Amino acid sequence: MYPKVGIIGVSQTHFEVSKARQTISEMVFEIAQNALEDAGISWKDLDYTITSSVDLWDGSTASNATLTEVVGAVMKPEMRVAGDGLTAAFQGMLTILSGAAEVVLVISYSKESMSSRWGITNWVFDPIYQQTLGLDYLSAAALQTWAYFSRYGVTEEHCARVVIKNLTDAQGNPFAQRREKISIEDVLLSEVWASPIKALDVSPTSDGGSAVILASERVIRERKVEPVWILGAGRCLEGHYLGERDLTEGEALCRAARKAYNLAGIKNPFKEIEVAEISCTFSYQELLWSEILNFYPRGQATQLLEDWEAGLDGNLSINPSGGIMAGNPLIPAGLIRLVEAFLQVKGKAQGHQVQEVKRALAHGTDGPCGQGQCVMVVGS
Amino acid sequence: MSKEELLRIPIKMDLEYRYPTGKHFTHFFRVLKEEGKIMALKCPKCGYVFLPPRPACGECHVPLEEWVQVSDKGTVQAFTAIHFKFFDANLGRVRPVPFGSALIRLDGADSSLNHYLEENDVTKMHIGMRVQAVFRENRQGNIGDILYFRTIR
Amino acid sequence: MARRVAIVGTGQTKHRSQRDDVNMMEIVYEAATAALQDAELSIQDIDAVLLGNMEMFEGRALPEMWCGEGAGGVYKHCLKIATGGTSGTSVAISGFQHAASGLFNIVMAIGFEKQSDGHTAAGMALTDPFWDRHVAAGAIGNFALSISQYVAARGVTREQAAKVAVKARRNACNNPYAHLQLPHITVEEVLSSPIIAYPVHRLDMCPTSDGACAVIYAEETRAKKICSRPAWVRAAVTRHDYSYLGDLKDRLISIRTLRDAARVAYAKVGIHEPLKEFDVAEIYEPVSYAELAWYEALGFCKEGEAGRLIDNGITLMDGELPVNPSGGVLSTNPIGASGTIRVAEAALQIHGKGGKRQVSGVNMALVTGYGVYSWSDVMILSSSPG
Repeated sequence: MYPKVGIIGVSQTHFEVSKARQTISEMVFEIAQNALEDAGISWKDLDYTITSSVDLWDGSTASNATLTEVVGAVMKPEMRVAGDGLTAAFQGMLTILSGAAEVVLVISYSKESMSSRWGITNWVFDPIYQQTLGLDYLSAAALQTWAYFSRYGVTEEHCARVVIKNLTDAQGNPFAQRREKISIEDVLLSEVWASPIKALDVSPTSDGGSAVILASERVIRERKVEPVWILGAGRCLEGHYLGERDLTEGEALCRAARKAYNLAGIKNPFKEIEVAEISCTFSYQELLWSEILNFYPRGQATQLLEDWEAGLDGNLSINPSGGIMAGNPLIPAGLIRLVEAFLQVKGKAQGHQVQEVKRALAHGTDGPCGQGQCVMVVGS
Repeated sequence: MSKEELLRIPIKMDLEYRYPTGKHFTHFFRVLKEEGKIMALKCPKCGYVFLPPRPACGECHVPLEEWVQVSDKGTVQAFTAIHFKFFDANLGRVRPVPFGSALIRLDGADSSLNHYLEENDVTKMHIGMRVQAVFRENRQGNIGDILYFRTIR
Repeated sequence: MARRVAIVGTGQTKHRSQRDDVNMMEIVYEAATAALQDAELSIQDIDAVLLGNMEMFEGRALPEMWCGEGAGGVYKHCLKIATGGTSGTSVAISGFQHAASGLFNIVMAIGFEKQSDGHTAAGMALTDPFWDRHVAAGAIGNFALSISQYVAARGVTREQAAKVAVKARRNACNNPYAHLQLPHITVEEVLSSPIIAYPVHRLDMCPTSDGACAVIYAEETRAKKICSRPAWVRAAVTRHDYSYLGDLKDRLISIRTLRDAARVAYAKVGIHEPLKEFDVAEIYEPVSYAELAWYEALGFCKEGEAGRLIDNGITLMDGELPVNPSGGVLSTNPIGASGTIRVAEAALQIHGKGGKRQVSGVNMALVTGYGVYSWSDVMILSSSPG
C-alpha cells in the first residue's frame, strides 16, 4: 500500500473489572498522555483526534463531549467513530491519507463496570424482529457456536482449551486482567450461560482503553523514528438478521481480511505473518476467526491448540497477549489488538514477546456474531 | 382493501448506570457536602481556574492538582427563564415552569457554572447581577447540594 | 497522494415530525436510493457507506448494524460516525476523507435520525451525569443563555431574530423535502408564539424531525464522468472546544471554533470577502439568533452588523448572499442528518438541481455544521476543482 501511514506510539491501561476510582475523563487522559509520551511527541504536535466510544456504554448522550480537553481537541478537530476501536484507527489512517492531518491520536475506551454489558447489546438488535426476543451478544453467540460445532465437529472441550491457552499466555502480559491458572475441567464445569457457552468461555467485563499515534510518512522521515507501518487494512459489514446469515461463513471477516491481505501483498497469511491478535469475546471465536482469516482450513483451527500445547506455534502465534479472554472491554478491544501487534513488531511485548516478528495482524469486531469486522496488517 | 394501520412496537429502555466519580469530582463533592465550600482547580501553567473541575487544562494539557476555594457568590454571565416543560433525568419527571437558569462566574473562578436561579422573572435578571448560592439543608455530595442562586444586593 | 474529490449526487427523504410509514432502516434506504438515482449510480458502484446518527435519540446501540442494510452497506466497508449535532457534517467529512485517501473511489455518507422513534427530550437530558444533567434544559435552554449575552453585547432585536425565522420557513416552501413550510409566517406570528426560554419564542426554534440525507463522493476521474457539474470539496475543517457551557466565554459572540474553522477554510480556497465570493451558504442555525451570530463569525459582516444584514435582506433569496435557501435547520432538523442536509443542499445548488430554491450561477458554496456546545465544521464546495 502506498503511501503509507505508520504507528509511532501506543498505550494501554491495565485492564480491570472495575476502575471505580477513575472517571472516564481521568482514564482517557492517562491513556492519551502515555501514548504521546511513547511516541515522543507533545500535545502541540497533534493535528487530529479520532475517538471511539459508544453512548449507550458510557451512559450519556454525545459522551465524548466532556473529553475534549483530555484528548487534545480544544480548538482542534475530533471525530468519533461510534464503534470498534480498530475501525477508528482505520479512519485515522484515512484522515492522514486524505491530507487532512499528519499526526493523529486514535483513542478508544469503555468502562463496562458502569452498566450491564448484555443488557446494552440487546439494543443493537433491530426493534422489529430481534430485540424483543431478548437477543443479546451472548445468546446470539450461542447460536453461532452450535452452528460452528455442528458443521465441523468442534467441541466444548476445544473451546475450553482456547480459554486455557489465552489465560496461560496472559500470565506473561503485564496489562492483562485475568491471569489465574485454571483447568479444562474448571471451564467445562463453569455455569452455563447460553448453551454451549459457559461462564469461563466468555471474556470478563472490563474497564480500560488504549491509544495509538499515527503519523504520515513525511513526519516519520522528518522525526527519524522507526514506526510500525500499516501495510493493509479492511473493514466489512455483514447482514443484520441472524437468520439471513450463514453464521459459520463469516463473509464480512472474509472480505475484510482479503482487502487487508491484498493491500499488504500477503498471499499465505499463516506463513507471512508471525503474530495475530484477534478479538474473541467468546472462546469458539478464536477458532472460527482463525479459519476465516485463512490461518487454517475451515474446520481445522483446532490445530492451533495442538501447536500451542506442543510449544510449536512458531509459524504463527495467535493472541500471545492472552487476547480478550484475559479481559478487554468490547469497544476498544480491536484497538488494543493493534497496540499488541505494534509491541510485537517493535520487540516491546514485555513478558510475552514472540521471536522475530516482522508482520503482525490486528483484528477488531463489533455487532452480533461478528457482523462488523476490521482487519489490519502491520509490519516493520 | 382497507388501508392497514401502521404498527408501532413499544420497547422500554431500562438500563442502570453507576458513574464513577473519580479523584477530582470526589474531592469537590466531599468538600461541598462536609464543608459547604465550593472548590475549583487551577492550572499551574496558565492560572485558569476551572469549575467544574476536570483532569487537565485544555490549553496547556497539564494535569490539574491545585485546588482553590471559590466564593459562593458570583456574577451572572448569562440568564434565561425557561418555559418549556423539560423532562428532568434526576427528578424523573417534568420540571415546574418557568424556572430561572444562568451561567454564574463565582468569584475566584474563570469559567462559569450553569445552575438554577431562584428568580424566574426575566425582568428581574440582568448580566452582571450578583447572586449567592443557597445550599440544601442536608447535603448529599452532588451538584444538587446547591439548590439555586439567590439574587443579592 | 490525496486526491481531489467531488460530490456527484445527493438524496434526502421528505422530512416530517413523524414518518410513521417507514422504520429507521427504511428511512435510510429512502435517502440512499434517492442519492443513487440522482447520481445515476447503482449500489454496486459504491465502495464505502458511512452512517451518521445520534443513537441515544432512538435509544439504539450501534445502529449501523441494523440500518447498514438500508444504506447498502452490507458486504461493504461500513461504519458509523457520531459526533453530537455535528454528526451530519462529521460523517460528510469522513466521507470526503475516505474518497480523498486513495483507498475508496466512490463513497456514500448518510446522516439520519428518526426522532419520533425515541424520546428526544430524554436523549437530550442524558448529558454529563455530574454537572449538566442536573440543570439540562436541552438545546433551547443552553442557547437561551448564550442569547442573553449576545443580545446584551450586540443589541440585536427580537424582530431581527424573527426575520431569520420567517426567511427560513418561507424558503422551506420552495423545498419539497423540508419539514416546516410556512408560506404565510410573519414576524408578528413568530413574536406571538409562546416563549419557550427567554427570549426565544417557539417559532424561533428548530423542530425535531424524522429524516435522512445522503451525499455521494467520487474521486476526480470518476467524478468528471459521473456528473456534469460536480461539487468539488475545496475545504473541510473541524474545531472542537471545551466541555461545559460555562467554559465558553460569550459563546455565540465569540464562537471561536466557527471563526477559526472558517478562517482556515477561507485561506485554503483564497476567500477574502465571503459575502461577495460565496454564491450561497447553507449554515447550521438551531435557533434564529444563532444565524445572526454566524453572520458575524463567518465574516459576512462586521461585528454588530448582523441585524442590519437581515434588515436589508442581504441574505434573502434575492439578496447578495442567499443563506439557507433550503429552509435550514430551522425548518428541518433530524439531528444526525441536519449537517448532511447542509452539505447536500450546497452541493445540489452547484449541480443546478435546486428547483424552485435554485440560486442562479452558483460556483462557490459555504457549509457549516454545529453541535454540542461549540463544535464547528466548515466545508467549502465549488464548481471548480481548484
